[in-house]
Amino acid sequence: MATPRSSANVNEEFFLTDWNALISSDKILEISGSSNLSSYNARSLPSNDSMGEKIMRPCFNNQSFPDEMESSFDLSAACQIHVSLSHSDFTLTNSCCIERKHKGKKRKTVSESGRVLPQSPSPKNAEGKEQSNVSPESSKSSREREEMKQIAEVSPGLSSSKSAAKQAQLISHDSDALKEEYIHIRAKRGQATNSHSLAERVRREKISERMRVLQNLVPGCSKFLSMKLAAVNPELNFDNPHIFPKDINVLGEAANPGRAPEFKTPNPHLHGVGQIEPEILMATAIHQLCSMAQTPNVWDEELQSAVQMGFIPQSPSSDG
Amino acid sequence: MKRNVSSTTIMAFHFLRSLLHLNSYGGGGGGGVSPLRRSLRIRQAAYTSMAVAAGPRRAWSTALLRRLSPRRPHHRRAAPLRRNKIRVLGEVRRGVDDGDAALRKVVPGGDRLDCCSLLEETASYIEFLSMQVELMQRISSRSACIDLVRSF
Repeated sequence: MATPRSSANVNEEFFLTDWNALISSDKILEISGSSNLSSYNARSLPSNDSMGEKIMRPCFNNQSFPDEMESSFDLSAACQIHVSLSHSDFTLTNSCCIERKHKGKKRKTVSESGRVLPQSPSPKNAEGKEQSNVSPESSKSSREREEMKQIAEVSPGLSSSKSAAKQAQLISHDSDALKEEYIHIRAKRGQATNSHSLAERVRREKISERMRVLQNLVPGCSKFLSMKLAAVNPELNFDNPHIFPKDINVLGEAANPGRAPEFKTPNPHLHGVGQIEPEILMATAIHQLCSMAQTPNVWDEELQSAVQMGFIPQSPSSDG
Repeated sequence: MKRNVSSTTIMAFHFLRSLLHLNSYGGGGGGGVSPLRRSLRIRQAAYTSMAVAAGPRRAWSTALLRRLSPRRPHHRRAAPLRRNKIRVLGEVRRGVDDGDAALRKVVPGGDRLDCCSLLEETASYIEFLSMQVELMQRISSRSACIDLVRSF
């Protein structure tokens, strides 16, 4: 394993230099039309937030917009737009931030991760307390706590049966964490201490954790997946009635019917690696993504008129 | 003291500014701009602002920017990191079929990611896409109201 600090720093530097080059390329300058952007991004990342604020304020207070601008909004109105937008609930950014912290924490030393722990807010419910009872203060346990908080934050509206299931899962998760430390510890009953299976289990847990995040992001996904998750993880016990997905074509009802599904039908065999059946989730995610990615500007009336004139090849179902 | 500007604000700011300069780009607005051209530029501005707001920490934002803006020849392509490459190539070689091939096509930069980070990038991508959608809906509704008022 490479030294964590140096690799992290190298990656950061690489990203920053490349990022600055990308941002200050000609196309973006032409589009955005100012050189402020290059200075905005030339600073190091942690300080670009304050720069953004400073740039925003003179722009918005200026009120010297060109009059030939035919778009009928002014930036003061736009201010209101994005202020109201920022007020809207994006708790998902929190979850992704925690994901990021969780991923970056692997590279920190034990002392640093120990330092992170007292800063973080106390865990929300008894799940955290269970965790603190069982595991010692190690880097793995602090990572666990972050995961737990992330799970607790991402799924706030769980029913009681599901939270009970989550607690059961967390207990097993906790014992897995103790085994993760690549030191030979007494294994939980019925689980192998083979290093390969340990690594596989770690990887599986990572993937399942991200699956859960995606599940909460993609609307209407949890119903399909609860059955599959129960099939893969025997520790989970789900009580709520699930809709058994007979066929992947059920997804066609959810989003716009214009998209042909490009994915294969899910094969029912579990792989040797033991990953959770990702096909259905991915199929749903793809469906949503395709419908979102292909129609980013449904709002433009001119676009619709362009469709009418036949500039843009689309299905003839749209109207002006 | 450092204040955090949310990524929503960054995206909105970038997008609105690029919309303002939409017509000045391209030869000083020579003649009329065809609606197709304009819509393409709007789309480009939207995706660029999304990628800028996401930051360079994300693989998809870097790949998206690289796709949208002309590539610099002297910058080497971002190859997957060593451990990612081993994992990705190993999965291809073993013939493990996860069904995420289609996902890799949709998420920018997804083809050089391993399954784990692919899922993570998908989550972030979906989040930013929904932000973009909401931003554009708000802009359009507001401008539609203003148009309506002006027409009277």
